[in-house]
Amino acid sequence: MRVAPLSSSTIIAILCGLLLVTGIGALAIGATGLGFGAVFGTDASGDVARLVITQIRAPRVAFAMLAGAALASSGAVMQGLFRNPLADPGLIGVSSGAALGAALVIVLGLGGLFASWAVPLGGMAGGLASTALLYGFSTRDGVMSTNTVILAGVALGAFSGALTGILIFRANDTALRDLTFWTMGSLAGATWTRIGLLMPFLIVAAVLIGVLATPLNALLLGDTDAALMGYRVERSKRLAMLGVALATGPVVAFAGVIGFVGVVVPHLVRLMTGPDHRVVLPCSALLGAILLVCADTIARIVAIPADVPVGVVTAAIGAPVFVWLLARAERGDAPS
Amino acid sequence: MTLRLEAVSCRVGSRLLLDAVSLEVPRGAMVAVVGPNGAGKSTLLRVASGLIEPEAGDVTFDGIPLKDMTPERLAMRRAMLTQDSPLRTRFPVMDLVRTGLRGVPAKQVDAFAALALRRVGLADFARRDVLSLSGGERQRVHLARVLAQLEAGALSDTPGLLLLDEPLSAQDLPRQALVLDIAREHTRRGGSCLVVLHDLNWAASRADSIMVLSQGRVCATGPPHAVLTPDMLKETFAVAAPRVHMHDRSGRPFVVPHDITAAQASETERKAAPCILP
Repeated sequence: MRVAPLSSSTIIAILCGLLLVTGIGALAIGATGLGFGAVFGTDASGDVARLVITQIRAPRVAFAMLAGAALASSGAVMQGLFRNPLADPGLIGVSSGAALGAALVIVLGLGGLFASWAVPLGGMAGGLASTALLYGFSTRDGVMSTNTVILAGVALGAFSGALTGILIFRANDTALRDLTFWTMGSLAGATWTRIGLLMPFLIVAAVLIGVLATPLNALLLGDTDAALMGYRVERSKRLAMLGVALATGPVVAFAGVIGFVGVVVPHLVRLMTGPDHRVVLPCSALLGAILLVCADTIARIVAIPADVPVGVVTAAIGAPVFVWLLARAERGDAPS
Repeated sequence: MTLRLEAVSCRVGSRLLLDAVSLEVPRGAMVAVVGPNGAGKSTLLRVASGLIEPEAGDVTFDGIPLKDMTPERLAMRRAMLTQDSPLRTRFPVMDLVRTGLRGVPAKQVDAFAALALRRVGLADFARRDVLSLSGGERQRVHLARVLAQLEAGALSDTPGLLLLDEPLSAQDLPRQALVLDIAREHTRRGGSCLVVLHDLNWAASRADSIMVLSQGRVCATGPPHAVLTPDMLKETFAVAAPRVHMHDRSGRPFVVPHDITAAQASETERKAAPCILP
């Protein structure tokens, strides 16, 4: 066994420090060439610079932090719940449902004048409805079968994908472009208002996920042993699905599909901390926030003045890491 | 603590897994359940632990019906070692044992866990990864977790019920003795133990009473010398020419495996005559 060289509180402190540094760095980097002086208000860059920092970069950085934290901690919950190191929030149909909801709004033009709000709301509704449907499919007599969730989740994802495909087929060029960008994920639409709308969902999700840390540790030993130790297994599973749907649904709805954060980050965290969810969950949230801020910063500056979809960056970096993790798992020394 | 099952029946789909089973495990007693594969032994433990609710009949701990107890309360009154764990995650041994310790003051958790590991002979394994251990060691880590759970429950109540589902399956000879002696130590301190065993000789050597289960029904129950008879072995296990000997010092019976051959009785014949009732 790899003995963790650092205590969990040290790791959390280091990650908090890194998050602060990345956040400030991300504020200082961007298309307009404003530096640290503008961030700290020490140079005479004026009101425009202040506006760029506080109204464009800051909400985007804040959104990236929240989205990264939500996706990564949700991934950690899913992997613990399903005892499957490759599980991610998409498994419970949130992403595919959200994609379908967003596609409905974009292609059928349901939003009208309020399109900028209608797409995220459609996505959110689609994601939550999809999760509820999957829960219904997989639950008999109050007992949720995790195997059925995985299988039905795949089927539901394929079905949502087919419906989305039909919509794409019917879409005009503008709708097609909007839809394509949405499925690649982007934080370009971040505003303080949207963050305000996101917060209630994330706060409830954070409370749910926080409460689940100890039951998730017991669930690693299996549903039966967890129940024998006095944990309310079915209630924990329901709360976990609800927490994940509340955390990822709105994020996916606003930012589109951002892949690999949910799978890779919890793995990296477990390499450092071991399997205890009381440490894994907060560390995943912190590392997810750091990595998504970094990825989004890359997305902003790699092709100035264009804004590359952040999902492309996370997948480009995440996929090789994911394959590396798979290869390790094949050799039998998975870091899960 | 006293466990009592009265006329418990349990059905999954159309299959009757337990058919009017009654059983008492008094405080300080160890009862072994034996029987052929698929007899309903594990189902019996699951019912006794409160994991599944029987279709008919009553299960009580010290006279209190299990269905009136919260999961948290149940966890304080009984702990169960299951047959296998689906754990696939790296997990330090000490942390795994700690998961059994709910409601224990934080300062005492490590001491409780260390004590439990010492009892199962794994004191030096605290920092190892569970997945790196052998099957037998892993089984004893889970036993330590179960013992820790019972100790935590005993902080505020009398010693509880220890349920063991084939606890010897992965153990070598000295560890088989160790596991059963740990269970006996628990009953000596006022706890009670219900254990499913395949090895009739271990059952006869340690248990106060043996219950023979076949096709969901109790075929025989009583002290080892009364239950472990050639007739019972022939009828219940369908083995030919079994001989049962008595151990001089303890007066307990044992079966010599050399005498045993699988009988010719087909599965259908056995089903026609499921058991001899005492």
